Amino acid sequence: MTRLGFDIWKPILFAAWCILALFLIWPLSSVLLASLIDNDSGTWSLSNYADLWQSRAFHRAFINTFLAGFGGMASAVILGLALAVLTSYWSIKGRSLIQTFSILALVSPPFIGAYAWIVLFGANGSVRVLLREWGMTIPNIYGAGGVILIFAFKFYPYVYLIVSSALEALNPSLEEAAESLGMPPWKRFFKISLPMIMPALVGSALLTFVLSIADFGTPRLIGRDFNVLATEAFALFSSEIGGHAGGASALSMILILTSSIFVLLQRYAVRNDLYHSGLVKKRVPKHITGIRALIIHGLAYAIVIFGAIPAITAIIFSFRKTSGPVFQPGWSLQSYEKIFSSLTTPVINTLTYSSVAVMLIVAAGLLIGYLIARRRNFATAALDTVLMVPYLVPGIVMGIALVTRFNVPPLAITGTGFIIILAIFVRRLPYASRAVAMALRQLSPSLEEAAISLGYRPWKAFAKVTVPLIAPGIMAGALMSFVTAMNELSASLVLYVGGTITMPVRIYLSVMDGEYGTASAIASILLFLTVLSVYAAFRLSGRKQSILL
Amino acid sequence: MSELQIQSVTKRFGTVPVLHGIDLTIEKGEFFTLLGPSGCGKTTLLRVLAGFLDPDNGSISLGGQRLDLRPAHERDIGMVFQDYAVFPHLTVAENIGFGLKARAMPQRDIKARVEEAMQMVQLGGLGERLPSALSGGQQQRVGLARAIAIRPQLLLMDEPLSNLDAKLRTELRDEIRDLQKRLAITTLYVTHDQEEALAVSDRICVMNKGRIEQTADPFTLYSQPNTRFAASFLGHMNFIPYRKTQNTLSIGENDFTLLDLAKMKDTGTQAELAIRPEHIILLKGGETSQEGPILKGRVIKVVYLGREAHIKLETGTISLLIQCPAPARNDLPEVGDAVSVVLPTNRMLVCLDHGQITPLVRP
Repeated sequence: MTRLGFDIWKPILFAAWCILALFLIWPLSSVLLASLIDNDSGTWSLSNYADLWQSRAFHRAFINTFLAGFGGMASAVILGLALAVLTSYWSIKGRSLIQTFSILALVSPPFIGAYAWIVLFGANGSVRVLLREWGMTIPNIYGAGGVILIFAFKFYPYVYLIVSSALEALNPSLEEAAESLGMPPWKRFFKISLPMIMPALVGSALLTFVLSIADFGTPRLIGRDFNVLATEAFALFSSEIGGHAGGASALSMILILTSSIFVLLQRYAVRNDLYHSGLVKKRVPKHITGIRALIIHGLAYAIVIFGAIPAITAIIFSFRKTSGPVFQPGWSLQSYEKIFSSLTTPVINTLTYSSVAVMLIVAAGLLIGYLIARRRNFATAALDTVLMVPYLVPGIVMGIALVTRFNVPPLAITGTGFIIILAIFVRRLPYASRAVAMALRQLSPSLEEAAISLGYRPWKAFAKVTVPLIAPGIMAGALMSFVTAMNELSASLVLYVGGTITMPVRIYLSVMDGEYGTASAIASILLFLTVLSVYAAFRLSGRKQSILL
Repeated sequence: MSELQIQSVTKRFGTVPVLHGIDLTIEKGEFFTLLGPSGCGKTTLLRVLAGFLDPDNGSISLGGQRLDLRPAHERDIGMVFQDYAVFPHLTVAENIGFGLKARAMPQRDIKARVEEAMQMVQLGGLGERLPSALSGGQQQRVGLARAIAIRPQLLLMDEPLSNLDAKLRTELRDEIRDLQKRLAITTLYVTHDQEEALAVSDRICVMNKGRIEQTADPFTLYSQPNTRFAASFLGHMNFIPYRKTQNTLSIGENDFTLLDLAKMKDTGTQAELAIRPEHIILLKGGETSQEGPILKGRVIKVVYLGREAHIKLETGTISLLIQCPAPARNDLPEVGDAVSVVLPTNRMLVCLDHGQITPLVRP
């Protein structure tokens, strides 16, 4: 339609590029440049990398990051795969309960996990104290083992949800065919089903690896001297504050590089996951009784209940009586009273920043998603590629990038709420635009053409036909973005100042100060808002689990 | 003056040319079909007319006015899509009234017009249904009603029946034809199905590789194809290589002399004859014929289809398909039988250079 007048999508494409250049590429370039400039002399140099190369703390952090990554990945895969297989092959009572629990674990604010484990299994954790009274000593949660344990129960739902939908899409006739050819059951699983779900399994495993190495809150709160790249970058950044952030930047670059390798591996693993057939008859889970039923139910429920412990703990502890940081016997609402009397700022900030960011994300995601799906050319394909970048950049690095770039005029927005909104916007935009693009690809382009041929201008056809059709998906995606926005910790921790503190940052600080009562209450409020949003998103999307991922 | 005039329209995608200078004129009220294999450019041409694609060159006018300079939404063209493109979030009535709303028609008139359109496509009483509650055939009826409700100057149909099952296809095909005649609406229809094209069209344009092979009414196109492509695309055609000497043509082992070989202008360098399966006559034992050359061969396949049977015959290096109408059980040979067939000379075509084809014997 180029010959026939003005195409509104051209200026939109231009604007999209401007936004990404200004708020994504430009800030990240500051990290790259800062890493290449010597802190003391201010000249070009690789001294920051050389310093890291010689720093023992960095060596430890580097090794620990991989330890945490592989440990988290391996344990999450064991739990997730086990749960997926148990629930798809055998009929388990309360399947939806199991799903709800695992979704609860998935959407729980990440650092809730960390501190809930502390109150239970920390030096003076309730469970440990109780067991000690019974004469049993168990190691405390701090250190590498604790971090990996928490990752396992935090990230297993990704593996579970992805693998069980792959198993669901698997044609059971294939296993029946193998059975008729005389293959025993366990062999059927390893020879037929496992190879078919391998792309999903490997993809979800690598996803948990990327999430593990990007996680900041858990190693920070639980790791003690188990430092990883994310915590080390934050420590270096804090010590370099006000000065040149060369060391933190160099470390960030290494973190980006590591994460990129695994994100690309993940893409590669799922690149041709084409075993899904359209005509699939559903697998009927096998009915079980007796001791087998007991074992299978026990295993499945143990996994999901253990994974939901952080959320449950937070709620229980939020109602406990406290005296300062110390829990007292009995129940009380004093933690909530404290929040609503003196700690309203983080609640209001979180809600404001998240809502504004999500509105921007929806608007921009809709337009960019349309460009990617329907206006395929070099500029939009490149846009799609650039939108991969936020997937590669851990939150802490994005925070550092924004701070170092936007602390001087003309865009001195560091310390304002706007920079926190910006961080959420930039990090979450790719999810929204990809979701829109995917929804559009499932929608026949002839629908819009039909509207045009019936007399509607192209933009009106888009608004009257396409938007209403993808609206439920967009709304569901927006609510999920809202959830991640509310729970964002690592970038906000770098970006906040007193007046722009958010709930996750407040929880983090409270845990650091040992104020578990306050932390529990804020966490419970956050959890409540999160569950509410997820529930709404589920309803809107027609109960599709894919929105969670 | 013709209603729709397409003049030397070209279109390329990147460096790949898909339309090489198309010239076509379509009369008012005519049912005109573009027929060709996938990738021949027929859908591209349709989309150029609809305004979804810009031609690189050439011009298009409708009712004496330039069409290609107007944006798609101002062209006043009704379009029926292969995948129906029925709006799933609107009811049947809202779908059909969608184009009328864009024309700012009063609500009451819209209602009347929608009702009328629904009656025409036999969807009466289903106005409040959502498309998801309709069958594929009903959905395409909605698509058709929606396109004719705006009373367009031109109706475009892009393989509207190809997603339907065979029985429904025939049924809806006849309805489309009746409706088009009743409304006298100028229609351009795209299909790759030759039978469909023959059944509905006033004229058919056979396209191949972005070029027009032949434009003619269905009867002429089938009985007097101008090109080898048109001859083979529409129905089945047997192609038979021949050798030519001074006064004779020979096929297989038989030499035969054509009466007016001297009168033939040009037989080209292709050295191929063509004949349709239904024109080949199977000779019963001992029978002979003066109508043309007789070939002896062996039956390698017999397919019985009820109202007709297809017999595949091999004679030397030539393989022939023969169609016998209403075969009796005893008339059909069996696989392995040696049979004789006659190829009537007045039914044969001869291939010329540049893909042209012409009757062997001038009538």
